[in-house]
Amino acid sequence: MVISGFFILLVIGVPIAFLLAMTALIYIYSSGNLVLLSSYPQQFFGGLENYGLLALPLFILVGECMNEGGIARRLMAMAMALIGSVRGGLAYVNLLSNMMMASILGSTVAQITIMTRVAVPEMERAGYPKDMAVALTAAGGLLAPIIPPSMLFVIFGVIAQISIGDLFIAGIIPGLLLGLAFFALLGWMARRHDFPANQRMSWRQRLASFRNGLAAGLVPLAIIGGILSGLATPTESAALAVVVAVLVGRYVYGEFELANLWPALLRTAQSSAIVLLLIAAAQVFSWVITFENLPGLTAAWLQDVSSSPLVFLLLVTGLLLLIGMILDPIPALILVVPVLLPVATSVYGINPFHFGVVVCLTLVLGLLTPPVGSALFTASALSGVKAERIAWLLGPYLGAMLLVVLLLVFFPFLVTALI
Amino acid sequence: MLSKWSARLARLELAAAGVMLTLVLGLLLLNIVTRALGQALFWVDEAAVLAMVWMAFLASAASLHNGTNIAMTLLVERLPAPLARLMDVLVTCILLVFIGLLLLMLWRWFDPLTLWQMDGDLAAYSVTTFNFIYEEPTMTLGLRKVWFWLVLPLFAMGSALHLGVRLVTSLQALRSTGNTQGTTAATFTGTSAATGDTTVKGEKSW
Repeated sequence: MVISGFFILLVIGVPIAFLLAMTALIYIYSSGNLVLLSSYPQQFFGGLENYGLLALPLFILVGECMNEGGIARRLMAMAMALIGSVRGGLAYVNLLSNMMMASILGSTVAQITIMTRVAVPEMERAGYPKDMAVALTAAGGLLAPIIPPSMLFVIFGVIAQISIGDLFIAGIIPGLLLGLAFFALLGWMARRHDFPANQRMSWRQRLASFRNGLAAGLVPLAIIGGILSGLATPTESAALAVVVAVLVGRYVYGEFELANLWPALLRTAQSSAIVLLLIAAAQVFSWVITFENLPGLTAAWLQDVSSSPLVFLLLVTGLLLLIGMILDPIPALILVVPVLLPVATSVYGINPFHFGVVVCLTLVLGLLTPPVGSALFTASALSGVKAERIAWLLGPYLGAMLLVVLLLVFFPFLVTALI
Repeated sequence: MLSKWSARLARLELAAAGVMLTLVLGLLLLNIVTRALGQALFWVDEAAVLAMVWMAFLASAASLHNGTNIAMTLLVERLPAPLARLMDVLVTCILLVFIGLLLLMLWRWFDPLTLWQMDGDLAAYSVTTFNFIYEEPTMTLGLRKVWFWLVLPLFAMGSALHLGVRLVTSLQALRSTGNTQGTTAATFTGTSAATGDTTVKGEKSW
C-alpha cells in the first residue's frame, strides 16, 4: 500500500516534496503506529535544523550576485588570454571558463544559464555551429556539481552526516579528471570538425584581459581561502564569497546595481526553499522508513547477488543512471542515499566519501539525458536549439563522463587521496 | 479577486523569507568577524539555522502560489489538455488533504484550547498533558523553541489558502473552457532559471 501509494502520487504529478511527506503519513496510518503522528510536525521542522544546509541558499546567492556583476564574462576573457590562438581555441576557452565558474557555482542549471548567454553567442560569432556550441556549454555545466563547492555534495554530506569540507576536497581530483577528459575529447573534435582558431591577441591585450579577470578570481579565492585558512567554515566562506562578488561587481566592474540585491535575495529564497522543503520532507520520509528497515531489506537482497563491493558499486551506478534519467539529481539523491548508504558503508565497507562522489557524479549525468533532464531543457530553452539535437551531440561528453565514473569506481584513491 | 489575495500573501511570504535570508547572511558574516577577533558568539549558529528554517517554510508556502516546486511531469505533460487540467484539480485536492492533516496535527500539538483552559499556565499544562511543546528551550538562544515552531502553522495556513484559491480557479477554468483552448488561470509557469538545479519545465508546473 505504501509503495503503490508512492508511485501513484509520483506519476500523477504530486510535487516530490509533498509526495515524500505524504508517503510517510500513509506509512504511519497503514502500520497503525499512530503515536508517530504526534511528533510528525516536529520531525518536519527538525529535518532542516542542520548547520550544513546553510550553505545551500548562500551558494545560490553567490551565483545570483555573480550573474548581476558581469563576472562570468571577465572569467571568459581571462580564459581566452590564457589559451590564446589555437585551433578550436574558443571551445577550450568555454571549457576552461566552465571550470572556473564551477569553482564558484554549485549548480549545473545555474551555470548553464549563465554560460549559454555568455559563451554561445561568442562561439557562434567565431564560426562554430550553434548546436555544437550549446552542447559543449551544457557538458561544461556538468562540472559545476563536481568541482567544489557543490550543492549535491552539501546535500549528500547532510544526509550522510560526513564533513562537507572534506567532501569538497574529495571532489577536486574527480573534477579535474573530468575537465581533462573533456579537454582531450575537444582536441579530437577540433581536428575532426575543423574548429576555427581564435583570433590572435597581442600580449598587451592578453595581459589586460588577464588583469581584468583577476578580480573575478577573488570570488573562488574567498571560498577556498576561507576554508583552507580556517577563517571560515565552508558555509561561512559562501557568505564571504557573496560579499566579494557584490564588491567586485560593484566597485571593480561597476556593473552591480545595489537595487538588484533585493530581487536576487528573493530569487535565492525561492529557489533554495524548493530544495530545502524537499530535504525536510525527505527527513520525515527516512525517519519513517527506518521503522520499515528498508536499508536492511535492500542489503539482504543485494548480498544475495554479490558480496563484492565492486559489483555492488557497479550495480548502484547502473541503477542510478536509470533513476537519473527520470529524476533530477537532488530528489534522486534524497530518495536513494538513506537506503543505500548504510548498506554501502556497513555491509560492503565502502568509504562514504568514495560512495558519495560516485553517486553524485552518476546522478549528474541524468541532468543532460532525456526524458527528464532539467539542464538539457534549460540549455535548449535558452538557445533555441532542439533538446533532441543537443542530447545527440552530448553523446561523446556523456561517454567521457561515464568513463571517469567507472575510473572512480575502480580506483577509490582518486577520491580519497586528498582527504 | 481570490487569486489577487493569494498573490498578495505569496509576495508577503516571499518578502519575509528574503528578510530571513538577509539575516542568515548577516549572522554568518558576524560569526567570521567575531571569531577572527577571538570573540566568537556562541548563539549565532543556532540563530542562523533557525532563520534559514523560517526562510524555507515561508518561501515554500509562496512556492505553492508561484508554482516552482519539482514534480515528475513525464506523464502529465503527455496527457491531452482537458485531462491534464483534471489531473491538476486532483493533485490540488490531494495536496489540500495533506495540508488539512498537517493543520490537524499542528492543532493537536500546539493544543491552544487546553492551554487557554489552564489560563496559560505552561508548567501545569506540561505536567497534565505530557506535551512539552511550550517548555522546550532552544540550545543557545535562551528563548523557548515554540516561538520558532510557530512557522509551521504559518506555512500550513498559507499553503491552505494558496491551494484553496488554486482549486477554485482551476475548477472555474475547467467549467469555462469546456471546448475553447485557453490557458488555465491556475497555470503558473516560470521560476528564475538562474539558480538551483530546481527549474521545472513544461507548461504546467507546481
